[in-house]
Amino acid sequence: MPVYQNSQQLYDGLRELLTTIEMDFPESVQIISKSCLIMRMRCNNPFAEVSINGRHNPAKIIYGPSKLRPDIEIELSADTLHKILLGEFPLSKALAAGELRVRGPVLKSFIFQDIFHRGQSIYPEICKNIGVNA
Amino acid sequence: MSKRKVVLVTGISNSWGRAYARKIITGQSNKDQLEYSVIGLDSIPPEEEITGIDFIRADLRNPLMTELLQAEKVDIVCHLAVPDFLRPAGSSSEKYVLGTMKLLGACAEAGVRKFILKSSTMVYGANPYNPSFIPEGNSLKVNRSDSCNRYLVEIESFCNGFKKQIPEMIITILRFANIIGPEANTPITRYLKEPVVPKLMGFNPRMQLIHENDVIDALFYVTENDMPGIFNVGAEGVLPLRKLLALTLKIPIPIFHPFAYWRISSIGEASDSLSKYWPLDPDFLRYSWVGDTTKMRQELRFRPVYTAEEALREFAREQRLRRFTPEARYLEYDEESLRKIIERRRKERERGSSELDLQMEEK
Amino acid sequence: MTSGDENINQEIIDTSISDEAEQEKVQLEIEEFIKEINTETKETSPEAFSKHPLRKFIRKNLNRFSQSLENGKLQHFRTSVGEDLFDLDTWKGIYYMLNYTLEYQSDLLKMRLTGNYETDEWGYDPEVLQFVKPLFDFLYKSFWRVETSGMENIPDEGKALLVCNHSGYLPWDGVMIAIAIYNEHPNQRLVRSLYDSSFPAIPYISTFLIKLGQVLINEENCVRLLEQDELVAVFPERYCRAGMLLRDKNLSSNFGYEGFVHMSMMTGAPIIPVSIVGADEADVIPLPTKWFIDFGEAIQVEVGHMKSVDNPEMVSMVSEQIQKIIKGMNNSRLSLRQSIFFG
Repeated sequence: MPVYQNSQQLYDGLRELLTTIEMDFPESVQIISKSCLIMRMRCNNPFAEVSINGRHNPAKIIYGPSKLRPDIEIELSADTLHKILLGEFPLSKALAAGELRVRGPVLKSFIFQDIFHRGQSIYPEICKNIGVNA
Repeated sequence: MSKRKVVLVTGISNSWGRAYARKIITGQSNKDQLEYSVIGLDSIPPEEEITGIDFIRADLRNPLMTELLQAEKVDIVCHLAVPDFLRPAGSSSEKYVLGTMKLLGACAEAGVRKFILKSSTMVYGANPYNPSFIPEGNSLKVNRSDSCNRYLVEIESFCNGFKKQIPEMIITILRFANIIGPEANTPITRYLKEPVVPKLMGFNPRMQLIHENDVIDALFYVTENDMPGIFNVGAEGVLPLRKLLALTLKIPIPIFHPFAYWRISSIGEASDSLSKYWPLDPDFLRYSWVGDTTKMRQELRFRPVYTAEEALREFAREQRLRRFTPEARYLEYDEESLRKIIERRRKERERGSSELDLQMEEK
Repeated sequence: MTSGDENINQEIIDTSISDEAEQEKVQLEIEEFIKEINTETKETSPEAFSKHPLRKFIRKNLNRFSQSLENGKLQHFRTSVGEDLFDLDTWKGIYYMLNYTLEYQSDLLKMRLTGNYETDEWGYDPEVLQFVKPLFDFLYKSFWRVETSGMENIPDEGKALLVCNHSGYLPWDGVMIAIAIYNEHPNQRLVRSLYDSSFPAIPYISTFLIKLGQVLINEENCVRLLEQDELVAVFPERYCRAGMLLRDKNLSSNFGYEGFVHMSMMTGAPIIPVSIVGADEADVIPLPTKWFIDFGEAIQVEVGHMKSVDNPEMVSMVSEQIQKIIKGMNNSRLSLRQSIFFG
C-alpha cells in the first residue's frame, strides 16, 4: 500500500517540507543559489515533480512539471522518499539498491545532501500534519 | 420539397472523385430530403459503379460544356480532375490546364454559383527563401522549367485572374499539404511505399501532412458553406523528414543532391520507374514547404480530425498489415469485387430483358 | 583615531590566529582517524597516505558548506569513510549507476530511431541541443572564455529583440549568445537567431541550425516568432555584408537596422542592444581570443501609433540611436581591453 494516496497529498507534503527548510535553514538554500544548478526530483507512485532553480537568488522551487532542463535529476518512488526522510534507509543504500536514480554530475549532488539531512529532522512532524503514517 | 442543389464533380473516376461523391451521398443520408444531387463527369468511366450519382462521359475541353451546365442547372462545381503529380514535359499537363480554363469559362457563362478547386501547397515551390510558415498571400514560384508544380501554378494563377473578372462566383481554392492515408495514392504515399527510401544527403526539411479523410471532410465543408478565398489545409504538427521516415520505419538512403538533380534532368520525361522512386522533385525533399494554417483555423473554422503523427501512424499500420497478411486482404477484396460484378450482371440482364420486351412489343 | 586603528588591527590579528588554530585542530582530527583506520584494517596494508593533498581536498570541499555544518560534516565523513568504503553496497551502487546511464543512452537512441521524439513546429529538437552542448560549453568556457554582463536586462518571460553588432560571416557569435543565455539566465531561455539565406542550401549545416532552433531570416518568420513571445537575435550588419558579397537580391538592405526597428514597432517587442567584442578576429580561422558579451538596457519602442510605424523618419531616427548605443557599448569595452587573447 503506498504511503501517499494521491499526488495532491505528496505535493502538500513536499511543499511543507521545502518551505519549512527555507524558513528555518536559509543557509542550505543559499548554498544552492551559490552553485547555480537546476535540480529536478521526480517521484513515482504517486507522481510528483519538483524543480529547484538555483540560478535565482534565493532559489526558486517549482512544484509540478516544468520546462527547465535540469543539471541534476533524481528519480525515486514516493515510498523510498518516505523511508529516506524517516531515516530508515540511508542514501547510499538506496542508490545501491536502485531505488534512487541519479543522473548528472554525482559529485555536485552532495549539495543536496544537506537538504535531505534537514528534511530528515523535520519530517516526522510534517507527516503528522498531513496525515501520513510515519 | 426543398430545391435540390446540383453538384457537378469532375474527375469522378479517380479516387478523390469517388470518395467525395460517396461522402455527399452518405453525409446527408440522415436527412429526410436529399439536398444534393451529384453528377459525375470524366473522360473515362469509373471502374466500379457508384450508386446514387449520374455519370456523364465527356471531356472537359468539350465546347458544349456550357450547355451541359445550363441544362442540368448546376449549382456547385467541384474540380477534382487535377492529378496530384505530373511531369510537365509533354502534352499531358496541357490537357489539364486547358481543361480547367475551359471549365471555368463554361461555369462563368452558365452562371454556376460556386467553384471548388483541390490544389496543393506544392504551388508555393520549395525554395529556401520562403518563410517557415507560408501564408496564402505568398507568391507562387516555379523553381525550374521542368518542376513538377508548374501545371498547378498555371491553373491557380488562371483561377486567381478569373476571380477578379467574375466577382459574383464563389471560388474556393483549398491547398492541401501532403495527403497521407491507408487508401490514398499520392506522391508521398508512393514515396513511402518501399522499405528503403531515397533522401537527399544532409537535408531534413520540415513536412506537413493531412489525412485523406480530412481532405474529403474539407471538400464537403466548403461545399456546404460558402467560403470564398484560398486556404491552406494541413494537419496539426510539423515533422522533419527524418522523423517521418523513422515513424514509418523506413531506411533512408542519403544521396548527394547534385546527383539527384542531374539524374532527374538527364532522364527527362518520366519513365515509370523514375516516378516510382522520385515521386517528388528533389527540391521538395530539400527545403521545407509548410503552409500557414492560421487562416484555415480562424476564417474557415475547419479543424482536421487527425494530427500529422496520428495520420502517419495509421498509414504505417496499414502498410504493415498489407505486408504481413497480403493474402487475407486479397481474398477480402476478391469477394467484394465479385459480389459487385454479380450484381451488375443481374441488373444488365434485367435491363436487357425489359428492352427485349419493348422491342418485341414494338415489332 | 589611533586607538581606533589599533582596535581594528587587533581584530584582524585575532581572526587570523583563530583560523590557524582551527586548521591545526582539523589536521589533528584527520591524523587521528587515519590512525583509527590503520588499526582497524591491519590485514590490508594500504599505500602510504600523504596528508597534504587530502587536506587540501577536504578544505576545498568544506568551503562549500556553511560554518555551522562543517563539524557535522567531519563527523559524517569520519563515519562514512569507515563504513561505506568497505561496504559492498557502495560499489554495487556505482556499478548500478553506470548500468543505468548506459541503459538510458541506448533508450534514447532507440527512441530517436523509431521517431518517438519531440520537435517543436520550427524544428527545434532539445535532445540534439543536449548532445552538442558539451562542445559548445567547451568553446564558451575554455576556448573563448566568454564573459557576460547585463544578464538582468533580458526579461524572464516574453518577447525581446536582441540586436547585435558582429559583422563576420560564420554564426559562432549567435551560438555563443545562445549558450550564454541558456547557461546563465535563470529561466534557461533559448534564443532564436535569424541566419541568412545562404545557409539553407548547404547540406548538413542547414539541418543542424534548424535542429538547434534557429530560423531563416525573413520578415514573416521574425514577426511570428515575436508574437509567440520568443527571444530573437538579429545581426543587421552581417546580413548587409553577406548580401553584398553574394549579390543576393533576397537579402539586400531590407534587413538593416530599420527593418528590425519597424518589426519591433509592429509587435511591441523591446529592443536589447548587444555588443560582442572579440569575435571579429575569430572569423575564418577561430583564434582563442577572449570574448565579452554585453547586454544593454531594454529599449521599449512605442506600439500602437500607426504614425510611428509608417513614418520612415521616426524609424530611421530610432535605428540610428540604437546603432549609436551599440557602438558606444562596443567602444567602452574595447577601451578596457588590453590584449586580444587575455582581455
